[in-house]
Amino acid sequence: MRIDHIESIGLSDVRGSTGENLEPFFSVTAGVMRATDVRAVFGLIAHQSGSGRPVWIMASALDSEGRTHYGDVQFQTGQFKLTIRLAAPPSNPALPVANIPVRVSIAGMDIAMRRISDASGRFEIDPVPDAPVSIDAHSVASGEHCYADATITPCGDTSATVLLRNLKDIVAGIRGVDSRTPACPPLPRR
Amino acid sequence: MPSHCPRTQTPFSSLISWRLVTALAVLTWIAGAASADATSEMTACMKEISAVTPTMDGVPENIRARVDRGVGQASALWRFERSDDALAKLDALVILLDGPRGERVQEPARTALTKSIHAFKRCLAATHPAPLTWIAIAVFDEADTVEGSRGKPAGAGVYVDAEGIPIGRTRPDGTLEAKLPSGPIEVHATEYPSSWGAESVTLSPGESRTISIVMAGDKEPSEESDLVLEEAPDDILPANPTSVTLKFLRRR
Repeated sequence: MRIDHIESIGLSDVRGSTGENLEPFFSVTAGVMRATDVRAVFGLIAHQSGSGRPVWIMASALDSEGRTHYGDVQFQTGQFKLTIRLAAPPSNPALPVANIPVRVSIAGMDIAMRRISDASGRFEIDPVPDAPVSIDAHSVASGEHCYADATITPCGDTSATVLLRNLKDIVAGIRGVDSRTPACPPLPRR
Repeated sequence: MPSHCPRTQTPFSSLISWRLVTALAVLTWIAGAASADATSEMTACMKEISAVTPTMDGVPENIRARVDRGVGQASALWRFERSDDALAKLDALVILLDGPRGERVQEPARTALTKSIHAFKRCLAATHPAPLTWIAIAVFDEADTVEGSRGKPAGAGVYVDAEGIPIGRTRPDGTLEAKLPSGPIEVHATEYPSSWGAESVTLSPGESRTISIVMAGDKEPSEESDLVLEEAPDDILPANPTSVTLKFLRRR
């Protein structure tokens, strides 16, 4: 639908509540609402979202037929690149790690996405928010079920190896993830 | 949930499953008024729409709201004898659940929800709605003297919707004729930016009558629409984006 006039645009970490007024930083171009000062808008969003906090943008606008519309959208800001490599477990070093569907979900928000591992078991998520990221995958080889189940909290661009483990590995105390990430700040996270 | 209403009276949490409940109530009424064959068809549809509600447990709120809106719109379009549009609306929900956004729904819930939407779709495709009936709608401004009492005819250009489906705009005398579905129905009149009124009636097939709607002038009528942040297709906005674009999506 084509928008003619913006009534209000607000930013908040609580749905439906009045927060920062973004309306002065937007204008209507070709029927859509575009930020005229992208840096200022992103600054306010980054300030509000803090450490991986989901935020809402709520907007109200008049369309070209004179009707008023309102709606909201929830999102997080993403800052880091996460590179994951699925690896075979000690109990089954020959386990194939290519073409495995992986479910990636972000804690504290209804965000989930699917990736497929490449020939070497790698996949990327870019960008990811400053929030715990859960990795889930399942593979069956020669009737043996193996699971990847790991949570990684990136504090910068992060690489991690996630093992596809079976019951024997778990009983043997094999760790499911080995990540290389910049140290997280010691301050309490919002 | 009316598509037009005062914003201040629209708590988001109350929207969930409102339309499913309404659609179920309408089907119940239609089943009661229909022939034996139609009653059995309707009973089957009622069963299917009842099945959608419990499968919403564990579904993220924003997806639930989309499904709830979509099912409500499909039910309303079907009642207006726009079955093709109704089925397309349900197809769009299945595509949503099959796509990237559906991946945020855990697999058992996604499968169950998709299955119940398919069942509801089959049911609507196989069932005939109660007949439409011609109705005159007269829209008035509120009188200055007593709150809610009828004042002057509203004049031309007032938007009239029934069950969230746009049915036209009033003539200079503030009236409009339209074919509306039988059964319980809510009709809204909106004159932007500040006048809104609604009337709930139960129409019988073949009935001829006039519905009067009085619009209060102190409202902020607005239509709930899907808002999209174009630079965040996975709901993750990259740091330092080169643009930030907000779009409202057309609902019907």
